[in-house]
Amino acid sequence: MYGLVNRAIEQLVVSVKGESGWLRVCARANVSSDGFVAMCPYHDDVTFRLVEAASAELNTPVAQVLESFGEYWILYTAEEGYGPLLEAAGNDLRSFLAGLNDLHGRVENLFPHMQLPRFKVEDIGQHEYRLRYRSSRSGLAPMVLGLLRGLAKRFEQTIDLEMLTMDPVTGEAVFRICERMEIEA
Amino acid sequence: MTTVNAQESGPLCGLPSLDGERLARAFPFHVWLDQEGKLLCAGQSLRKAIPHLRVGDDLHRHFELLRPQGAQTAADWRAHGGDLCSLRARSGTPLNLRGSAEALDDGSTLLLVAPVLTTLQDMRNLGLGLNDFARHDAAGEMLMMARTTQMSAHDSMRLAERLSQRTHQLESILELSSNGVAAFDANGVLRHVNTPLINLLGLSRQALLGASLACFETHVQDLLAPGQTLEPFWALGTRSGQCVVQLAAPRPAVLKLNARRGAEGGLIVYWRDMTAESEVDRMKSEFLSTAAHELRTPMVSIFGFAELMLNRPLSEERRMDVLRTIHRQSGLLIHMVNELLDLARIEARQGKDLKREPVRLDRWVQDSVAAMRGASDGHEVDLALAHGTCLVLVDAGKTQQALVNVLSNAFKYSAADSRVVISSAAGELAGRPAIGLTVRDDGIGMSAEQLGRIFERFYRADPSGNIPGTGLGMCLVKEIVELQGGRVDIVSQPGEGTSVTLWLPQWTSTGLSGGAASAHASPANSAWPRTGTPEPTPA
Repeated sequence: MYGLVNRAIEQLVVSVKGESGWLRVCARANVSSDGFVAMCPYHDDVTFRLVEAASAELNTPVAQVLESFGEYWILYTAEEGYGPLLEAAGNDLRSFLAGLNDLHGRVENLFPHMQLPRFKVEDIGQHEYRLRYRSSRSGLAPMVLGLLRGLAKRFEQTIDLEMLTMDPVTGEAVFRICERMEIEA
Repeated sequence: MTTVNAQESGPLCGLPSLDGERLARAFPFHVWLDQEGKLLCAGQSLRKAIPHLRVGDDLHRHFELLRPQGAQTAADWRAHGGDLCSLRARSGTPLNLRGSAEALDDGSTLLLVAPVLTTLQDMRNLGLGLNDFARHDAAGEMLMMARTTQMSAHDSMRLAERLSQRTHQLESILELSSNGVAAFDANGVLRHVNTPLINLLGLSRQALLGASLACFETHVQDLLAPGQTLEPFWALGTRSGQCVVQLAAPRPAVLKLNARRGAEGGLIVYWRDMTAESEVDRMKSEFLSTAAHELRTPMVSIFGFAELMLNRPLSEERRMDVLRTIHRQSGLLIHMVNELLDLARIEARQGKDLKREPVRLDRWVQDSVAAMRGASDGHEVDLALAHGTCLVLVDAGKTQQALVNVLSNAFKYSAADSRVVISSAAGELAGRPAIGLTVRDDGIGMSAEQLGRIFERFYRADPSGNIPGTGLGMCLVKEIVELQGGRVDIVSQPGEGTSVTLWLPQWTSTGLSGGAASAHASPANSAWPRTGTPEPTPA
């Protein structure tokens, strides 16, 4: 993973537990607290160890930490670094998700070491669709739940969201998203 | 459209043609002009960025032509050829287009251009998104790269600041340490040296920093005690080893060195000053050896005489003589062990079990002299206590033991029937009132060398053994007096006698700390130093 992911975990932990909490997470994960270079690739194991240590520090299950992290990523970290890019990638959740593979394709062209997940949107009905998620890393599907929630908040949309399936081996998951439309009185 | 079959052999020279829709998709910012330079059509994304474009509008109404400058007609465009075209939107729209102009067969001109954007925000200001660019257009990647570069710059600054803070932190840690540290880089150049090491080696930081490893080793080699050698630091670090060296300069010292190679190929040498520890070890060994020897002497005597009584018939007179010797020697043994235990207890408790209270000087001295009456060996004790009614803050019992030891020495080292004088004087200890109690004899006195060793354990000014003693008495005197914030002064000349002064803290009517007097002062609320040896000054 690139350092910006680890940096985002740091920001999340600091926002909840302060600097001292982050130092404890680093000590527990046996990771230096000197900081991460955002555009430098780090071994995936570093990220997973940090997530596990954050789970212990926050007294929250790993899946819940990943989900919180996903939402935090969209609302704070990505917003801080790539807010205009997110804006340029779509005006609502559905169009954003539909263009996400293109966006990731452009990112991969720039950063060949990045292994970004693939998404596919399948319409079920009006304002209701499935999102298929596939990644070379397993165990991160809960994070997608948080990402979707964060995106919905970003686009000021209300959604019903559920994970329909998740393959624990391949990490593939399917989500159902239903956009609730505001009815004007 | 020409179709090229990849299966066919031959050069890849087929030329496809794009119909209107495909061209519009491939070039969403294109501009199509008639022979007069009027707009025939514009790409969908360009129309999104500049919504007021209309068919028949003059190109110059909406764009400033930078290249070719001022081109009006198709002939002007044709003259420009395949060179770069550059247009800047008017009316405040922040849009620059660049590309090429293609002259078509019907006399019209097709401008195949795309926006030049430097930030994602510029794109958003134009109302454009990534989907408004052709898939082959790298504008999106360029914008991402620009943003990433910007973020990386911020990241570098953030990390540089954090690194700087961490460096300051580590430097403070190293400076506060009492041990020395020298750090060399992978080329063997000294990059860091802390103040404790500078002080240990007595060298200047300027002289050391930037020095090569060989040069530094030479510096250290020059400071070593005779016979000492230094293992090369690089070899020591490579095996993560340690060694002990003795310095002769700038002061005699025993240093333990630990060296380790760093991950970056450098070398860290850690120096621990073990001088005090080594001295304590030496003193402990010496003490054990001396104590064993001193205890052995009376025990050998007891053992020998007991064996004599067991194995040989003795006359009654001889038997009594032997028993008296055994009794005397075992008494000495008990006295020695008691004094050793007293010393050990006093040192271990560091004065915590002292019960200090105001004690009237004259009565306390008289009690002490009375306690020695049986051992005065005919000496006369003169009391000249000018401050007899003063109160001193002491543990009466323990301090009496100190005074008795001093008196005992005065009796033992002066002629029988000679006079021993006990006098008092007023003075100060660390700026507070004190009473000095001096015991003066006219005995054999001591040389400067003997005086310098008077407080050593088992040291006897008379090594002949004719004068009984353990060599521990004066150690006890010093410990007892100093633990109560006092001090022992000794003045002596060979053949002229000895004066020993015990400076003791005085209890005044205003108490010790200037507050109201209290009948029983405890060490806990005493303002007197519990340890140390404040300098007494005559009043």
